[in-house]
Amino acid sequence: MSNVLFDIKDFERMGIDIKMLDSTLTDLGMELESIKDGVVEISITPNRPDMLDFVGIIRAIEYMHKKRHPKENYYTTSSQIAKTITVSESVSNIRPYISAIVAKNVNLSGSALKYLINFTEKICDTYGRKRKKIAIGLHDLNKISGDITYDATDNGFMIPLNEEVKRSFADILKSSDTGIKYGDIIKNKEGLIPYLSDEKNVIAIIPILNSNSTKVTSLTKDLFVDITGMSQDAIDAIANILSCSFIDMGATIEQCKIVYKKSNIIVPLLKMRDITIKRFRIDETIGVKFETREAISFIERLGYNGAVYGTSLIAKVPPYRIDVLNDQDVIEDIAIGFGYGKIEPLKILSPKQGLFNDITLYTNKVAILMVGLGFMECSNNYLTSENANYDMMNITKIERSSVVSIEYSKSPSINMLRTHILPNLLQNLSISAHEAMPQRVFEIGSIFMAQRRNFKESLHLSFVIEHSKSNFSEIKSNVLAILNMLNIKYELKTLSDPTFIEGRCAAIYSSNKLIGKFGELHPSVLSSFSLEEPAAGAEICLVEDIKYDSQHLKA
Amino acid sequence: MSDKNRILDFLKHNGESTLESIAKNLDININVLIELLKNMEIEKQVNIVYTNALKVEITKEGKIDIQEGFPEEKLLNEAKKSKLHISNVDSIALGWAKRNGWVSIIDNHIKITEKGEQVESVGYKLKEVLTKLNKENIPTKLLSELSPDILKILESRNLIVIKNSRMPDIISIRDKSDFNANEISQLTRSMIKERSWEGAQFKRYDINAGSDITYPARMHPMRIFLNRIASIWVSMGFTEVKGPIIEPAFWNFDTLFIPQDHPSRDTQDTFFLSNPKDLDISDIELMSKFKKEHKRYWKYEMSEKISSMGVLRTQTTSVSARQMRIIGKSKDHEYPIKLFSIGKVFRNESIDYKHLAEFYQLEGLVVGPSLSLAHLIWIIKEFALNIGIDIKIRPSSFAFVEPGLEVYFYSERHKTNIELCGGGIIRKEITNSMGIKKPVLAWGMGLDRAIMDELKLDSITELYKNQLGWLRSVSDINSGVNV
Repeated sequence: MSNVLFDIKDFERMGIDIKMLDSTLTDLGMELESIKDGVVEISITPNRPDMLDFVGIIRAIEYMHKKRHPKENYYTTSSQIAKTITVSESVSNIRPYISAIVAKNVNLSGSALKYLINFTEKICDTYGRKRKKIAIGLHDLNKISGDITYDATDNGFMIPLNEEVKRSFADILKSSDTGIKYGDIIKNKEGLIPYLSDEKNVIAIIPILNSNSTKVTSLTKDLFVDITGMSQDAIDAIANILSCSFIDMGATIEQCKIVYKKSNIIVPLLKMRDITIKRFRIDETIGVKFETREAISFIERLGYNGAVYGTSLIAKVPPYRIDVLNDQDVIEDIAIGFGYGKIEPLKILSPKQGLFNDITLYTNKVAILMVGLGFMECSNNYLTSENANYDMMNITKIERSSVVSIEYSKSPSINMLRTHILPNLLQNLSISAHEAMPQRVFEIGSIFMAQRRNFKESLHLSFVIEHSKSNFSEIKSNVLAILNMLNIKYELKTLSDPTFIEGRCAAIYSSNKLIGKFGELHPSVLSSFSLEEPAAGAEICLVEDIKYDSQHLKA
Repeated sequence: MSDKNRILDFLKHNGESTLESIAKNLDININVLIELLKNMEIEKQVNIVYTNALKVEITKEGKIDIQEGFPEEKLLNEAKKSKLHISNVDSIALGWAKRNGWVSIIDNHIKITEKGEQVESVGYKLKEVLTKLNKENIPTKLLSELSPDILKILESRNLIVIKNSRMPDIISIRDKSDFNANEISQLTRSMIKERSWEGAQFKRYDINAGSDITYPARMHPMRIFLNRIASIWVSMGFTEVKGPIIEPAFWNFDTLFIPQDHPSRDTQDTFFLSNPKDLDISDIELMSKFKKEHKRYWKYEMSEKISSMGVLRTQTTSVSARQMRIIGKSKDHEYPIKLFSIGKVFRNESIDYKHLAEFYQLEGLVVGPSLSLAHLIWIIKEFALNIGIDIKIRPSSFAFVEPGLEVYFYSERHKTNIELCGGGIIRKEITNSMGIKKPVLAWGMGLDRAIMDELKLDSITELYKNQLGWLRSVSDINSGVNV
């Protein structure tokens, strides 16, 4: 989702009030986020970059309300080649592709220039991945002399936008806001910096900043637009969107010739694309039966033209709809044109019964047992820190290779996934220190261990008893109660563990495998958690190495 | 000897005693002692003279300040780091910092005074008192030793609430002559066995006298809530599935048609793992299919290195992706296949009382012949009906569905439209690659907001803090049932 801002007045001038704006945007799947101080904020889904523009939104609303009817080949170019752009080999390893538009008689008065700049910046930011994939430059056509070269150099000079004195490229990259923000995109070993120049001056450092010599103002009549990036398809698509916006602003589009070493291309090519959709696919996907003619009337509300072709429908996709690739996309637009709210729900008949997952059933059973033993259930996060998971538990020997650790976290209290639950419960008791005693808490949940290019998730049960007389024998009696109820055959062995008091803890073995431990918590551990009463705790592995792959569909 | 007997013994030897002296001499926690004494009063073992005492409770704001520091302390720390213009700082924090004499304002900028420099070493009295109040249950008498000015300030800043409560003050043993030898107080085993109660009087108790508080042991509200949601889906004929929270980026992103340069795959949003840094992807065939689709659709070369990076899943849709593959690889299904999944998802957030790094999501999937948007709408309407929500549908866009939809409802509590879930028909590019020839309906919803509404919580962190006082008191019994 991207949010864009417009003045309410501009919509009103087009005969669109807030109510109509709100309901039409909702019907189109967009959202009117807020209205504040005469400014509306609209959120646009990522599949419709054409609607990041005021002109694009007006167009969509007018089609929806049939105030405007789509005309075939309305969005087109004159056959004139207005500019030639020669691309040098030296940009091929830095930013190889360029597309361009010449738009004549654009009206940039009122809010138009502001909206156009916001639109291009929004596209570069979102669709263009912060200019990495796509960057757009706007120039006053009449301030450009002759044809254009796209080249790269390590020794260039330019008068930056809104400045008066020529400066070196390197200096501009270092000192300008956009240079600092986007400079990394064009970093290369040779230190070459890509730029555009006309027959006299450098007109832009790509994709950083324009020169002051071709500056666009609200009085500018004719525009030259450069679009650069890493894929010709992607930048040509954006050239199409921009061209359609210019045409809706009253301009005529002239083409440019791009001269690459190996081939020449002409841009933009504003063509309607045909997509053929089988009739039954429409009914089947939406769940409503339409006549083909009706379906055509629905896509006309989305700016398409349509034609009947046997048992199929041919949708003619306008050039700004770069998101529409195949029949699925058109069918969605048919549904939007019909109105999602009008789709009657269709019941799914199936005699099959549903089932709970085994893990859900099992953890519920264990939770009921623990509650029956008088324990309060806690539910903690999986994410934790080495400090909480190890240091506070007196554990000094850490097998780092078995820790699932986080590469980068915005929160300093997070750097790994927990390997046991006990520290979580002690933390819970710590923040509950002033609550009436005794305290009995438990949690059933997952713990995680790293393996080579893999990991292991196990289901653990942990519980803690805290009060002035809690001790080994009390925790033991609870451990044995739960082991017996769960039908786990066990054997207890002595254990030396820094978390517990030496001589007051035990290891639980089942079938000669260590499955858990319990005992009186060491006073230094209690102090780490600021616990002032003695406490005893247990941790038992219920299911080792949960394998989800082996889950079968039982239904 | 029981604590009660120890108390009686103590009173016998020392006569009238104060609450504090009993607590101190017998080493009994004040709160425990109060409960014991009230009990003994009912049983007519002791006399208690009560006094009206002040009781301090720390407010939510107070707890936040204890944890994060007072606003003026934060301001002071920031001012130490960089030069601050007064228009850029919280005016309340500035007010207090000035009042404390920590800062002065020169040229509209904040300058730290000598006193301000010393705060770190000397400490901040307000915070110390607040922390002390929070940590210890301070008896009335000690409370008055704390500076009343400071208490007043804390109260005016809404960090504490001072309440009047009745506290035992002087305790004495009850005169023997008060006892009627023939009156029974505690019924005992021997009385029942020997029928010695026959002909005796049962002492009448004051039913309004205080009693011990009994705290329940119970399942966590989140488990109760998730069980309820799961039951609804099971009752609608859905089977519950689960999947791993650790995934190679392939299952979390690539199979859902999210291109490898998409912003949601940034370390700013997703938790990537440093160990295991890469995870094995066994389904090589599937990988090459998705490589082709990404190339065709997004026009780039999918990198296997990026696909294998370990992440904490950002959406439970990864579970649906794995289930689709299982369905696509096996044969002879009885359609429709209806699945749902509930689990934790993770986002790289800076955690505060509004934002969490892990939360719960629900995911649903139906596979079958001729399934349409209209069927999907029916499913979600059925579910919404079960939780008492009247929904509306509008178009929306997610990388892995086409057509896509969003379901929302009007919330009376929040006075605004709230998104319930997103969904659609899984793109053919995905289902074909998975080996499924039938339409697949899918939807997903976050659950944390719903449970907040159910428990009427203002902050989601409450739910995962596991503060025992909260767990003992929070009630969800009224919701959902109209008795």
